[in-house]
Amino acid sequence: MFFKGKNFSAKLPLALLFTGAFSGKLTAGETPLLGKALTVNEIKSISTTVFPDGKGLPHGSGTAADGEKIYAQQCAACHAQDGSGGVGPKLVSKPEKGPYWSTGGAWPYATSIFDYVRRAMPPANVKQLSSDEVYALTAYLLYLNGLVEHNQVLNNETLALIKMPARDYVSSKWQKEEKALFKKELKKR
Amino acid sequence: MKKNNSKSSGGFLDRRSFIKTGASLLTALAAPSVLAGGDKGIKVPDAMLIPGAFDDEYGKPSGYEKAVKRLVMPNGNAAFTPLDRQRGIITPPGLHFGAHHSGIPTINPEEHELYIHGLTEKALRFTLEDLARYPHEGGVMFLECSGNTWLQATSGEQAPDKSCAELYGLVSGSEWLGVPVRLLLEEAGIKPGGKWVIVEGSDAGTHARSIPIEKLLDDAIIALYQNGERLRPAQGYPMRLFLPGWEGNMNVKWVRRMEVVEAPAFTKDESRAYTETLPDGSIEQFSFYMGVKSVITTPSGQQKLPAKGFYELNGLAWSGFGKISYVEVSDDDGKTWHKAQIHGPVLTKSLTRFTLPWQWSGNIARLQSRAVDEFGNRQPSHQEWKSKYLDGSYNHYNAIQTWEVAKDGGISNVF
Repeated sequence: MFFKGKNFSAKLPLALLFTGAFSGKLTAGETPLLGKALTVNEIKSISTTVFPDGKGLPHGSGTAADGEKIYAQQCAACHAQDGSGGVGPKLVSKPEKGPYWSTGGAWPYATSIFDYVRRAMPPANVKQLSSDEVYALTAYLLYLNGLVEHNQVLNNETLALIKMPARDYVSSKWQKEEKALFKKELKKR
Repeated sequence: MKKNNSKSSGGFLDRRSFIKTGASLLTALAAPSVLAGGDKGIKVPDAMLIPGAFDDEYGKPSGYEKAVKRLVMPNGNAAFTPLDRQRGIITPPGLHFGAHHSGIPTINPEEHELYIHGLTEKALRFTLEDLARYPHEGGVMFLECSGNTWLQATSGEQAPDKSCAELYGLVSGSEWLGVPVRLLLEEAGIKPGGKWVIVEGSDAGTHARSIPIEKLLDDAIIALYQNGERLRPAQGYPMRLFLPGWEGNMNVKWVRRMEVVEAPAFTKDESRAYTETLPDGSIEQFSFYMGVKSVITTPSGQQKLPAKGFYELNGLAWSGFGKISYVEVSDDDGKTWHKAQIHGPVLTKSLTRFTLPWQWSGNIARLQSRAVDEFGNRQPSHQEWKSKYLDGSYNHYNAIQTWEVAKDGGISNVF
């Protein structure tokens, strides 16, 4: 049997109708629906993104004092002990010109530092640092940028409270312009 | 638009006079020539005397085409498509540009899955075998790195002495086919509040980008095929996200996980690497569309015209918004512009081929092209583009390219 747009759509739940049924686009009902359910623990094990509000941060804690030693072993070879960069990007600086801005000067959320270090750093030893170590490294990087004290404890409640300077000078082109252009694009089709 | 029929600068003849000139040239050439050493006839080539080779299971280019290759950066992070040695809107997969931040992983497709979770009614997993059974959509589309042509953006007064491939080689065109993301998100069921999706790859750096759900419900696909075959490892084997017209970095290769969320995660690449700096020093993030752009690929930088006379100018134009409407070409530094011939198919968010016959007079000429898309988007001049960003900002460069032909026929990149 072949699916004929209208007949088939009529049997679908309303939620599936709105995108495709009237535009000639396929809907999920016209697919084999082969997705299998993930278990609670499977979802937990893959949910590694950290969000600006702190959602996704694990338990654990660290300070810049702890991070200094770990940084010397894991990061300094590429980023220099003072964070001025080398093979790896510059992590520390006051806001300065253009693309040469550092992580500390350009990233609007401290949570992104935790997220990135945990998923990708250091390149030859990725995903091997403990949560405590990642908190400590994040704290050290923020300390080098003058944003936390040497012994200030960062954890899943305090990290998201750190205000990065870039929060005052970032904007979203998608929100400002491109979302409207996207609507225009859809309208033309 | 002013027509330039004068022959003083060589230039673009109108088509009728071209046909006339062509006809007289043909007449002249048609007369048989007699060589100084006597008329010996033409030897039968070896290929017509010896049986040829067996075919291969997987074909290769001619051994004489070894110069047609990508320029790979010493750190292996990027490979530039040799645009100046190609014709047409399709890039062979082995010549497609690459830009990688954590190398190219080796993935066994039987061990790879795609996960969809977060603000969804159901959290789901799909194998490659599952996805292969879904309807496939897509088409012939370009993919461009957000940083393509950055050397033009970051150079000062002096334009860098570079080839078309070095400047423009981070764009390619392919037929991309795969499963519409919209169908998979519908199957999982988006909960109210699900406005963005964090899309993550399975490379060592676990590259991630936050994508507005509108785009994923529109023309995004989980691409499984490129130009008729399964993706190459460097293009995300066994599956990648493909977002027609949007910056390359968002087209997450080796895609493994899609988490439906309320707001962006501000991942590493969207925090700084793939942003622009505005003239007031502020940082503009989430700039997704690749703007309208064009370049004359032959003749182009570091090539040399062997003699004055006839050349076909060849180029490519593209826009992340939709179809190319027209392309204009100039040989006098933008004083006069001439509509180029557009060669179909003219597809949305695809490379589009244009040509224009041209006579080179032997004098200095400045070749330029400027494209306009169906939304009226136009390419800025180099100076106009520079004025939109703080000096040093280098992503999303789409200004009009100028190639200068010197009196000796040598071609160089100029501003």
